[in-house]
Amino acid sequence: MKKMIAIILCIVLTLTMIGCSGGAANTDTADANTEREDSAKDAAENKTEDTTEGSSEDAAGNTAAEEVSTDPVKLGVIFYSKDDSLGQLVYSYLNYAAEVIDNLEIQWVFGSYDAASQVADAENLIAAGVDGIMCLTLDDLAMQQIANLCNENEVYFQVMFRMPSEEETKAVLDTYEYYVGYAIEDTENTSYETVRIMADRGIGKIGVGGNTHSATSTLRMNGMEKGCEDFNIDVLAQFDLGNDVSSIQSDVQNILDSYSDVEAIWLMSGSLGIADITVNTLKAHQDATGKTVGVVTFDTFEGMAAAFEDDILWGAVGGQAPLCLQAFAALYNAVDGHPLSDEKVSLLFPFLVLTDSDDLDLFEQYYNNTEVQIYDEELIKSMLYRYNPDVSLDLLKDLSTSYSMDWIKEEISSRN
Amino acid sequence: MENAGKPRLIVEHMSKSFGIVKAVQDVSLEVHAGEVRGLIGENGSGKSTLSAMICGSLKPDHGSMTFDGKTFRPKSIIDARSSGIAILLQERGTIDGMSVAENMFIGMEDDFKGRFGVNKEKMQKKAKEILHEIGADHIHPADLVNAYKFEDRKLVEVGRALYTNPEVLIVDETTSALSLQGREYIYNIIKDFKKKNKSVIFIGHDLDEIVHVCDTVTVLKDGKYVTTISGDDMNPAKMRGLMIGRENLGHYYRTDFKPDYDEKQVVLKAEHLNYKTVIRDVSLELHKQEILGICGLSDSGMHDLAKALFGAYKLDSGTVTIKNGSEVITNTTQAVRDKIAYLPKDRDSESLFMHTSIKDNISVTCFDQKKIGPLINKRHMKKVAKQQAESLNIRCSSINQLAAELSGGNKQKIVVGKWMANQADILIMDCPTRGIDVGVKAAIYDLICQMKAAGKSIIMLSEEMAEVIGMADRLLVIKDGAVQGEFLRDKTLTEHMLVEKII
Amino acid sequence: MKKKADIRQFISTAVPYIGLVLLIVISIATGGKSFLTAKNLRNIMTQSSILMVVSVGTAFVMAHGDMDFANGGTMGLAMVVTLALCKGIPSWAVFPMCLAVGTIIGILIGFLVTRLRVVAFIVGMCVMRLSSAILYTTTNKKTWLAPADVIKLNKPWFYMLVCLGMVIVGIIVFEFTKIGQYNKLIGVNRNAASLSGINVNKYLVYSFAASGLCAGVAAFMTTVRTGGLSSSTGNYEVDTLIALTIGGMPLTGGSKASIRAAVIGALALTILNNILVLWGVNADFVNVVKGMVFLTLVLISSRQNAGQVTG
Repeated sequence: MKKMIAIILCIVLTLTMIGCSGGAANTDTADANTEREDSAKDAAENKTEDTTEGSSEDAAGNTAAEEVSTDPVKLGVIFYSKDDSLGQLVYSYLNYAAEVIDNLEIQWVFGSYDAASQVADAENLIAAGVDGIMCLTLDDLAMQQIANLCNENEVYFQVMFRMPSEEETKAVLDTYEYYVGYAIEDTENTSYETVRIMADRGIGKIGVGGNTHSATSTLRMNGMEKGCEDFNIDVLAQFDLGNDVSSIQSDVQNILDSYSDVEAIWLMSGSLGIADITVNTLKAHQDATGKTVGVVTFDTFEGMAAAFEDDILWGAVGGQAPLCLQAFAALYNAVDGHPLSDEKVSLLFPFLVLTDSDDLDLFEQYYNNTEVQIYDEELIKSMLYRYNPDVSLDLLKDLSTSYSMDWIKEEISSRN
Repeated sequence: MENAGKPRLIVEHMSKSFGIVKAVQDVSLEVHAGEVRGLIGENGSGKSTLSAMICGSLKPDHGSMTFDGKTFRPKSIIDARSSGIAILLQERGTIDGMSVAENMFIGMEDDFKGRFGVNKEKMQKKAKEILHEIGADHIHPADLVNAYKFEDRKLVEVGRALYTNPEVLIVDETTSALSLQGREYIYNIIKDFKKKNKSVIFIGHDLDEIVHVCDTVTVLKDGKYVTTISGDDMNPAKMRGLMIGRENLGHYYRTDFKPDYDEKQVVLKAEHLNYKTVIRDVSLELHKQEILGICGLSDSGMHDLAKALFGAYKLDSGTVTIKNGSEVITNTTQAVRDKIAYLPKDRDSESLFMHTSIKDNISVTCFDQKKIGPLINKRHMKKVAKQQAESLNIRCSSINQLAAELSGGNKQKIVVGKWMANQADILIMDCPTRGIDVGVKAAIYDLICQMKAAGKSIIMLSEEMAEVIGMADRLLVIKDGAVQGEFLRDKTLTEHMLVEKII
Repeated sequence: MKKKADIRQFISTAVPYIGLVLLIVISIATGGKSFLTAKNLRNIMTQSSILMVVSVGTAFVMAHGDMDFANGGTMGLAMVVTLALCKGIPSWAVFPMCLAVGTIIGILIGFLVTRLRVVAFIVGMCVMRLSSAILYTTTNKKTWLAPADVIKLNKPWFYMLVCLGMVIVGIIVFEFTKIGQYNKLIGVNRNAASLSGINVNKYLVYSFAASGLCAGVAAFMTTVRTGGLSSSTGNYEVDTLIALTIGGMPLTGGSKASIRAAVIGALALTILNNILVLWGVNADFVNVVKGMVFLTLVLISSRQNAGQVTG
């Protein structure tokens, strides 16, 4: 009895497998054909839209576009989590976009921490019928595999918060028609700017915490080195930022002990408690000797307010989340049939650099707050051809160049 | 039935079924004040089920109980205990990793509430008192219970049962696990109960013991009440007959009284075995067709010796060899390959796979038989298991039934079947009839004789001197890990002669 | 008399199947067209294949009652070693290489557990840490690509074939050799197993070797799927545990252990992930739904009644 059932189940399973792989060829082409027809139709429709819009007045703007196309656009977003500060903001910003754009639907997938799982997520999203996928890819391999997958299935693909770290990957990606491009933080320039903060304070000798273990850290270190060269700052000592937070404390202490003339510490990363423990160590040093050694760090952290107060923290870097909306704009326009560029799009988005308590207050009020939409409906729509046929890559670039603490303040106060 | 007191506990029309198995059917009995009531029956006759219902661990399907004139319907063992009925169980009932005192007062911690949770000192003091009362001063309340051997743990359970000052004590086959000394503790407690005009229900297999301890005996058979006897009717032969349902059992032990084996052919030889402090320079020889009896107290080291002979210990020195010394036994795998079998004293934890089918339990030794290329032959294994279950007459619904669901005797039959399936030539049987009723006991003795006749050699270790005297061709007495004496089979051999060497 | 025990046994075996079938029926009913497409079914097969292969190996370790936390780490190490050497060996040798490295690591773990008496899941944790450290340092500068011949295998049939093969071999080794059967018996009662003549240590090592071998195969499959070595390879420890539990594998091992659990569990887990995306469940509820489905499946599949070893 039991054996019989087991055998029957085995046969069914095998048949399904054979059915899937055998029938695949036929259905696949059929699928592809219908899809191709669909997309052809879409393209045709879009063409007519173009012409109608073209003939009507540009000023017709939003209302005209809304009347024409009502096809829903479904985008999939693969993100590692929606629970840390970046994840929360990205989740809030993109959901807001889906709310204000009438034909947009967003499908989220969270919780994948390896390349194979991200590929599986992309497969599932494609099966769910998305038109485009945005992803914070974990590495070049995931990027390549997903791009390939999307290209085969004629689904647009946009990388965000990451870029191909190797030339080969970039070259491969560039050959895929459906790969839209990447959007990434302007790391190297920001890093350069953080050195300027120290230079402005007349600092000449610093200690550096960092390494070149990943593409991003390499960029940060490069920016710092260039800054030090330009502003004539000596790097007295350098220490690695490993996993172990307590070792960082002793590293900082060692620098303080061995180089009495050190004036500041520059940190490549402040997350995972690194910045906190460095600030604490320097605070203790300040209390004991009365001498202030400042910190400039990437990332924002818990104890920033007190650290600014004590004048130990001179600069902190964060605020890159709205990048996801620029990535989204690039993807949406491509899906909509009006890509921002014929080339692959590469968007650089600046960080916010906080230098004092006032900056921090604004930052907490406007940025670190999922209630506030830094890019409001009007701004988001202005980046989409559907609402603003005049949109261009330059417009997005201008928007990102102007992104700063002051800009946010102005932008939000102008709304009321 | 004339008894001194009035009925204290009245059990009326109790029934209990497990699925379609009717374990107890319409059993009624009365226990009087100051009475020690024996409860006997074959394995599976419903003794333990009945006692479990009385002590609250099982709920009866039908029937009612009255205790001291009031309706008695216990919800749990603890509930029954607080009403005045306590039980001593057959198998181990202590929890490892807890201290003696904690084990003793499990479920009654509230009595020892201190300012911060349980007041350990108070608890240990009380435990010491109770242990002293039963004469077990060598057990220290603060020690972990695992530090003590089986017998002492049993005494801890006794202490637990006595703490609540029960009016009725149920002793469920407890003594079969104990040595002579341990039994004495229990007998004394029973006497004490009688003196205080309290009642005891005593469940056991050893009929001589029943006669010795009990005033009256109730016999159960197949879940039904047979009769209650007392006075002169209480003799082993009659009781055996009532239990099995026929008067004449024929022989029980071996009927011949001459050592009968091939002296020239040594099949297993142990030379100067030493293992820690429990085995000291033991040498022995087992001959073809011999039943070698080994007798001693349970802490004499003989159980360790049994394991050592089977290759389960890394010996400090000495060798166990077979085939004229050409092969040394160093591990159990090799021992099994060389057709040696080991039936441990503690069946449940050392030989049985409890929540596993009878079939798997028997066929565990057969994986290498009739292989299909590199693969095992399941059909053959099933066949072998079925064969053994049938020829040993194991009582079960099918060979797919779980070993855990069987009674002690049938479990032992499984263990025997497992080794028969491997066609073992040398059997090391440690307390082969422990916790087994007369019917199965006789069957096991019979089987041992058959195996002897079939040319197999047997080492039979036992704490029951009567059965060793009754079965063995040659007899070794062990004390403190060393051989103290050797006896040949003889009609005149008595327990008394052995006891001198043992103690 | 005879029927009852058999029927009960049958039900306890059938329950995980029922769970899976229920999940599939619900998926078909609600996912409709997009679930039942050939493409999506192929996705499910592909996605579940790696998890299934790892779980098959893990089943051997769990059969005797140990937790296997080494499978992901073993995968990572097998990939590092193989890709480090793949320049020097022909591409056909990549697969056997992965397999061999996985098996060797498994055997080493086995020796640590049996000879040095380190608890298995501690060893597993160490392998996991070691692997992630090595992966991190080797892949941070440069992505390691697999040979082109290997990447060419990235087709659904490849995953299905390897997976089917491993499941069949797994079932045979588990059910019809002493390796699987003895490990189950060890899981029921280690003491009794040893006193029944089973060389416990030897068969424990075999089980770790089997787990290592499967991890090696899975490492190769992952290499094919991702096209190279990535620092995030091999997060399978928790997924295999969930999959096997859903499939009806008791955490204490023993007679109810089976390869079936790996197959059913891996499929169920993958289908669940798939259908949740197809449904487009609000991300806020995904974890709630997942939790509830897991709980239901575990409840109906892991009830502790009985089992057979050689069934």
